[in-house]
Amino acid sequence: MDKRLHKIALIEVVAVAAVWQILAALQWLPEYLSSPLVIGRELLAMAASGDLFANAAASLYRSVTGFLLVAVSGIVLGIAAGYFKPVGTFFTPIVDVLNPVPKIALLPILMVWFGISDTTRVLLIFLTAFFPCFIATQDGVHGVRQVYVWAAQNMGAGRMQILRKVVLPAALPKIFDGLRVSLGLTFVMMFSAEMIGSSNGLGLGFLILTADMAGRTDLMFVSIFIIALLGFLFDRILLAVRARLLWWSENRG
Amino acid sequence: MKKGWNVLVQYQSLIWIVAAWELVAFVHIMPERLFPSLAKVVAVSFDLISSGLLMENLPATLLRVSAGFALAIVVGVPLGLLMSRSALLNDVMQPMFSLGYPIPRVALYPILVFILGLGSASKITLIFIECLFPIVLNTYYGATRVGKLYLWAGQNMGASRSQIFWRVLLPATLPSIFTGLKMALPLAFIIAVLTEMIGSTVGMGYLLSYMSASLMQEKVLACVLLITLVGYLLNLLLQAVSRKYVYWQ
Repeated sequence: MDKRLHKIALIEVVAVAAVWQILAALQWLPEYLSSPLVIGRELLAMAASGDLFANAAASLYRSVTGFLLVAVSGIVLGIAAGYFKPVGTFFTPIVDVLNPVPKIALLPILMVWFGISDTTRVLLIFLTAFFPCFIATQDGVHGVRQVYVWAAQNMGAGRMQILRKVVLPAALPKIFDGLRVSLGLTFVMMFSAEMIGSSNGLGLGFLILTADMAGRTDLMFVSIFIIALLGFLFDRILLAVRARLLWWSENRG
Repeated sequence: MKKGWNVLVQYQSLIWIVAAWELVAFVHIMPERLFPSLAKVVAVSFDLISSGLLMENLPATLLRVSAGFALAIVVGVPLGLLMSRSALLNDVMQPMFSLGYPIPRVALYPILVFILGLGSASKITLIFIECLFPIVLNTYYGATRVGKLYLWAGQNMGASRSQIFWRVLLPATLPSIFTGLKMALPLAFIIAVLTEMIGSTVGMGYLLSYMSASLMQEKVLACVLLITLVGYLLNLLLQAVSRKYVYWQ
């Protein structure tokens, strides 16, 4: 997104909020749709009392732990599977069978095995987000131009040296594509696991559930807003890291 | 003989996993209710099919998936194509899609339930929103990458605007459109199951939560197996359709 689109995006967000506020002020909207001002006031109140940060931190802890596990294991295994042929043939059937399983369907099973706990939620996040990262990394390693590898071999590089100095950097753009998909999924799954595995704890999904039961739509909008904001911010952070590491790559998010 | 051995080696990881699972189930490290053998899971899946429980719940899920998916195609494909042809529309829509892309859109579901109720309408709407992103973005990028030469050649030979659209632009974009559809269909199915798990009285997701209330893992795993199978078949169907229309790839 260039600067101009940034500006248009900002204008659009402000315009939507303004129209929403005006419609609410004219009482043309049903009561439960609140209004941006009411939601904003609630947001500030929750920020002041600290509830907001406690809930957001609990949710973030789950998704960030899941994401880090995915990033480390997905990249390491993906590179191994892409670079060493026997490892690749070992993993291919597992991935082919497990990847199409809708992981959210495993939640009831995980809940019985590990209880309604953070272990269950992090595990669910991990299972969901692992495959895009692994597959993209493996693809990225496979996609490295053979000429580069030959050139390195010609100059006398060893197998591990080629892996570190040639294959890894060349596969990095694809790896980041996979990480971006995985990051989005961790937030989706964090929210879903909290919505379904209901228990009284901290978390943005629980916040929505409690608000829903109390009929407090303004509170629901606050948690939706925070989830959206976190998803957006972490995507931006990933893109910034990518831009730093891949300054030589033309293809930028 | 050699060939059979090669197949075994190729699929050894699966064989190891299944063997380890069956071993754990066989020696009863965990109670059978918690850790059933896979053979039993398959048997229970057949029970679910023959007892009619599958046929009670599958149509509702398929209806929601196809309604949301079809709606996203009807809106998304023309929108993506128009965005590639009109700078103004692109300027208006592109920021919305860039902003909305990293946001977990399932978070909207509780609000949709508030507005549309717990029935199919809120689920179809969420499926529609979720599918719209891959369909619009892939159509748009596909259409912008259509070679200028094709469009010029068409114009040169005296094709009208609508002819260029139907005979040049649309067929040239079709592979990208199908790429978008292939990303969207699994999403549609997952969202359907997910929303049915959160709250519903019919559907595959409902069947899953209903079975999990029994605390018998073989029933839950059988549901997971059936859900996976249905999702897999849906993808096969889409692949067949795509091969029919994008026969030149």
